[in-house]
Amino acid sequence: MAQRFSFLTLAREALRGHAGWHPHWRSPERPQPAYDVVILGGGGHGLATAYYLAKEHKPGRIAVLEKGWIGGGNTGRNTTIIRSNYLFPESAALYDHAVQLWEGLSAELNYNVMFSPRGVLMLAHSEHDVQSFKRHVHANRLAGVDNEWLTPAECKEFCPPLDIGAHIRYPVLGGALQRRGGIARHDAVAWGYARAASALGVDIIENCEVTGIARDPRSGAVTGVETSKGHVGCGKLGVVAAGSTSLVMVMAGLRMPLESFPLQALVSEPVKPVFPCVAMSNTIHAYISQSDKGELVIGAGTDQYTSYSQAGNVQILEHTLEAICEIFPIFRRMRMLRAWGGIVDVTPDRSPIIGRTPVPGLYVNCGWGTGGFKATPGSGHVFAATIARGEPHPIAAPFSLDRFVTGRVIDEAAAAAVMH
Amino acid sequence: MRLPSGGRIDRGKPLRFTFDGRAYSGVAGDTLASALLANGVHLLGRSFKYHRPRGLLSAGAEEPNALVELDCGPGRREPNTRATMVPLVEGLTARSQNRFPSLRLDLAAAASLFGPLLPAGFYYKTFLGPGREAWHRRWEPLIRRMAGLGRAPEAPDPDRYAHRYAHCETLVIGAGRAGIAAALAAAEAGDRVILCDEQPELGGRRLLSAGEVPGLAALRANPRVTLLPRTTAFHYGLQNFVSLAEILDRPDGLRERLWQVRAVRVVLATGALERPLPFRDNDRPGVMLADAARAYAARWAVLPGRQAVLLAAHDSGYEAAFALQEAGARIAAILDLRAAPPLADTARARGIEVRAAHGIAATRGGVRVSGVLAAPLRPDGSPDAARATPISCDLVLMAGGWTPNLALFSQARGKLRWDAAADAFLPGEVAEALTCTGACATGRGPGHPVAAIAAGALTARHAFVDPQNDVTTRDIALAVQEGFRAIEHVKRYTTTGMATDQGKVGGMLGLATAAAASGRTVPETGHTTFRPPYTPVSFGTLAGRHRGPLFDPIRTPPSHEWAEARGAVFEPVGQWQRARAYPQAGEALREAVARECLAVRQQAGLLDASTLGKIEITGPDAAELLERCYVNAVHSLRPGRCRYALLLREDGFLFDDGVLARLAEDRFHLTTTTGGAAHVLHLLEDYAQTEFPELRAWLTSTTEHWGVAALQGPAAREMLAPLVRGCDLAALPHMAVTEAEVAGIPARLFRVSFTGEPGYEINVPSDRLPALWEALIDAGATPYGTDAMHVLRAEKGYVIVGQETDGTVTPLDLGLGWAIGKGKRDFIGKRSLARAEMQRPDRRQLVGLAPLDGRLPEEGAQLLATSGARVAEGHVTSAYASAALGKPIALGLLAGGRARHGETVQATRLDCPRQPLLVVPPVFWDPEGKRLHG
Amino acid sequence: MVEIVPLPPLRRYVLRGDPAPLGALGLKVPPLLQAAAAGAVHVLALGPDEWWVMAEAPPAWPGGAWVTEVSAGRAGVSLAGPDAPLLLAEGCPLDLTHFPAGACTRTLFGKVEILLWRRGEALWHVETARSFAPHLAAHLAEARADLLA
Repeated sequence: MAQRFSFLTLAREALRGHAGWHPHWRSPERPQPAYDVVILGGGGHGLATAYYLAKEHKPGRIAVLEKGWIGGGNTGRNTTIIRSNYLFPESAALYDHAVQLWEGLSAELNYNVMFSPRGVLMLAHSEHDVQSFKRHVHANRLAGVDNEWLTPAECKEFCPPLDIGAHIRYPVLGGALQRRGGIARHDAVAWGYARAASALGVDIIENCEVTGIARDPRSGAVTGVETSKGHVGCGKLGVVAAGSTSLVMVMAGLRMPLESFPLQALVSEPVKPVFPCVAMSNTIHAYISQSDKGELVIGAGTDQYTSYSQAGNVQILEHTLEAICEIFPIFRRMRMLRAWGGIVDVTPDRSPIIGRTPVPGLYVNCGWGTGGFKATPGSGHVFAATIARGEPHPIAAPFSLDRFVTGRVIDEAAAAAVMH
Repeated sequence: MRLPSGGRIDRGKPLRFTFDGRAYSGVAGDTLASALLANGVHLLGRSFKYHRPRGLLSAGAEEPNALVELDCGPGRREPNTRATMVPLVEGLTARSQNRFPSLRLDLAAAASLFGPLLPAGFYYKTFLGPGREAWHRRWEPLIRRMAGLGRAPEAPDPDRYAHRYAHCETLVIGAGRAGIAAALAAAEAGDRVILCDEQPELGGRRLLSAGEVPGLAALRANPRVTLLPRTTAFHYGLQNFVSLAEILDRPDGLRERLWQVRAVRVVLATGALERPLPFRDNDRPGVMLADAARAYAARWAVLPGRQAVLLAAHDSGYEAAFALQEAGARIAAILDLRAAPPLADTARARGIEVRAAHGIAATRGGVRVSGVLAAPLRPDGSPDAARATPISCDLVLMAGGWTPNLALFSQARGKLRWDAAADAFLPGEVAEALTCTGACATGRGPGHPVAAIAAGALTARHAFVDPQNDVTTRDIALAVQEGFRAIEHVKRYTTTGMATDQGKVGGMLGLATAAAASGRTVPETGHTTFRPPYTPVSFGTLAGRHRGPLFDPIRTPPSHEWAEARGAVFEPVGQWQRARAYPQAGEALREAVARECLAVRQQAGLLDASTLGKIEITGPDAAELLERCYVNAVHSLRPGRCRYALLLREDGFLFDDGVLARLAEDRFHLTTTTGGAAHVLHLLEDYAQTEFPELRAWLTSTTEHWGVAALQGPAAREMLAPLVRGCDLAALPHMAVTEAEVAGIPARLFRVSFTGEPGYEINVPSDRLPALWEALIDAGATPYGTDAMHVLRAEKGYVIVGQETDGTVTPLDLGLGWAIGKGKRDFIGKRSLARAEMQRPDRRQLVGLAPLDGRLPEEGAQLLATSGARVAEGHVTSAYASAALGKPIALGLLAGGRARHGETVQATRLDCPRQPLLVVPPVFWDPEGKRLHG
Repeated sequence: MVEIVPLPPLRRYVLRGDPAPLGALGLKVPPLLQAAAAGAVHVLALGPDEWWVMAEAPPAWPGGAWVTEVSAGRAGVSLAGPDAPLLLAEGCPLDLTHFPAGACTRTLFGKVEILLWRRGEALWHVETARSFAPHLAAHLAEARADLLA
């Protein structure tokens, strides 16, 4: 059982010099020789999967193997935006499932992940944007996802630093607002799931890199993984390795329809509260919010070349800040404090892949591209169900690996990308 | 206090400035920090969490405490500015931050009383209720107000930011002794050299002595050497692409310049940063780095205090103490953590008491240090408070040793290796053409090992490791206790190293503390990643000149001036400005569009279609290239004829459409959508160069060469004929092209229509378009814009890529299967069209939608089989008020739509629940197309 | 010191595939990324199979040449003066010290693709697509003002 977090325990420990706090999660030095389920990848999605497996399905012994330190990949590098205002009903269902879990997550995990539904405002700068966002509003409302259309004046009221003047290069023509969207504290999500999973008996093994996937010579089914800490047998293997997925799946003889790109983000020096919500602009290519620490958190699109390096070029930072300063001109004298990158794995239709693979016992959850953090609880939840039952959870079912062969793609980016 | 002589300042130039509303004076050469110290101002800020009083810790870029708000006029407010890096200027106005109501009396300092409740990570353990929304509604607003340091600016920045690309053989970063030597050597070898330093004066620690810095004169005299003071190298990109921020602060408003240097070789001479020391209340104003105190005395002739105690782990502290003593300070004692300090006797000979194996148990004082409790060290390195003796002082010097400054090295993906002899991380392997020289390569010699220093402070209270973020040794020990062992976890959980100094001050100490707390060595614990920028860089510097009108090119078609003069209303289409409509006096936009539509249907209208892409394809294999790429049969297209052409992506979805005209056996004129022009050219070039390099076919963009006047309407031919020479207009069939002279201008004349009326697209060189335009207006054509264009084409069911399509639509979905060449062996996307999903009869297909209630449907509305259905079967892609038909029309995509004509579907609305629409064929005007061929 | 002057009107033609027609105009085929001239007619080798011919008057192209006229689609400026490279450095990432008279290439200036051609020691021809020319001119003008101040 994990220690209960609460103000009372905090106060009690304060009197004892905090000597009584235990490690948030058990981190065994070495894995056991075998588990019923092994999850490869100790990011938010992998840890959430392990948690829901242990909590709802109890398939036996579970381990999460992480090559470095948990949450060190994209979970620790994203811009923390949470929303579910996606166009196609399959996507809306998946991301809104996540939002519903976000809404109760701190209580469920007994860990303050600082989920803050302060509203996500998508800005329209052209007739094409207006049409696209209004279509989203119609589709979302039908699907039961909140999304409303705002006039420019209403956008400014919701987001005072926004410049809605006609003089800017791409004036704001309105915006689509999802009030239930917002941000959360990304590191806390990894730690919160790790703590809860660990309390349910999941082994979280860090500094354990997979070097091979073992398969039964006759059936081809997965039997275990080779790691830097030895061989680990498993009945089922779930790969949740984000940008490194291609490299891992090759070990099972599978070539994935993924390309990995650097995705950069940056924060400013911390200032007193000035930005109340999340604002996103596809046309001008930047998005921004303010962390609870006071830093402006800013992100944009990927670098243009594929790479596994987690580093990108400075030109992306230049273009992103040009855009930010154009629609929020008061920020031009703010300073960039820190910039970093992650690796995002992108599928041909920019929607994730969740489900079975041609290899029996091998399940994959990847391809979240630039939008994985928001889905963390939902992704873990449906992936856990998929692994436990051996068949896709209904919400995960459309995101099958074979959709690229059949042509049943779910292309959220297409509407945004095409211009007339 | 200002010393009577010395310093690299100009006492002849006094400067006035204010801080927190009080007036002070300093001199030219001062920084804001040195000037404040000279005026006896030691309290400069409040820490992030506990709001403890803060003073100057350093004299340089690593300053974590003295962050002020600079006010340089309207739109020129800068929060979080390090006072140590601000050159004093006349009239400078600065304010302290993060305190209310004042720096001296900050109510939030009461937070310190709750210190035990607020250890690192406390917020993860609480604020969990009451109720699910408690964090967001109740606690978060409070936390947000307490967090943050400075205030964001409130007005737009009026200053300008320049940019310069530069190339050199050798870029030297850091103009201390080692950097100057490297620059001289490179210059001597004939290199172009760029030498930059973040300080306004070059020389590094040589500035601690008086006089000219050796080597600078020779560098200044060399025309191939560029010296850049006040310039910080902040981003090390791949292949020696280094970004530098140069601060100019020119009175004419040019504030900074971003240099981006591609160097054959980079030399890092970035020196080393002094380490602080951990002891109780080591954050009190008056406690500062020993070398910083020395710098204040030497460079700015300011004594930070009159009576100092030195806590030394390194001999450099002694040099600092001796220098201060020479400047007139009294060194009350040197407490050395080491058992046998090498310079103890030298110090004693100068009358300074030295206590070996001693530390500080605590400091005394309020908003300024007034003394220390000196204590002998126990075997575990901790000070024995029970045996402590008080020593009065107003200045405590910390000489904790030196950390080579390898942030840029690390950004260049260089690997750091722990060197026990140096007691520091030194540069290891690096993948770039980069060398390190000077103290950043070797360190400054070992002192008392940092591991021992950290071990001795594990149990100390209020021993700050990160003074800005209020992270203490106990916080780090707690993090380790709570299972955060990876150094990145320790950093993220405690936020040590995440303040505006990015760990320059406390990085090594934090790492050593984590190591000590977890029973590991320093190298076993590893170090966190150094991220760019090296020091904070203004957004404006990176955005440069690309703001306002220069943010993105504004592209206008050739008739733009005429349209502007006519009061046209414009819309952005990508980077273009296109006329939406030409309202006449007193006309609303809606009315103008209706009038323009009727003019086209009844007479003749004129549209500027110049923004559409145009590509000329030449060569013996031109037809073959197009045959392979486009869906159409191209080989069978005869010279003088045109075809409506479709380009798919490899996945079979529609990418672009246009008109393909054959001018000759080996010459084609291809149009694209406005937004697709560049993408189509790139795609075709990609295929031509990588897939079909054997084909002799070449692509040339002619988008901007041809201006296009589209004349459409039943009267078009009659209106145009008198202006045409060299072509029998009456004999030109629909979908044909010819060369002719129109209004005296050589033209490519197409008979094509996007409106369903007979029409022509007259292509002339774009500089001649205005003349053609005027001629056609004079002939009676009515100008119409893109709004009318949208309506007219929708009345005919002609699709617009990006409106009827969204990247998930195939030609068959749109009923455009006829455009696909029969029996074609291959074209881009052919294989994908054969996939199971692409053949299903219930795919969303193009339909017409007629409102039964006379209201204009909403574009984007979802289409449902019944009012109560929750699953959409399609959506409305376009909806317009049709003047020609006198009612609203719409197009949409509907599952299995072609088989559902006559059915009523329900469309969602934002203003009421549902609207009934009749599904009809997607053509409203002249379904048989009789008018086109008239 | 650097002056910015609009380019005079020029006819421009893109020749692809076979450079033989250049001979008919009296032009030698220059090496890649170099210009050559015959009287008032210039040819710029911008690619392995791409030559741009610039002239004040339309040249007499032989039949069968795969030539496309692009004259009206181009516009730009001349930069004259010793500080032209410094002005170009504001937005052009090339090392212009290795760009002697007669050199030419496509490159960038800020947000705009340009054709850069050094016509002389202190004379540079900078052109772009017509609709990008105002932005190019404005960017150069602002940079020049700060350079000379």
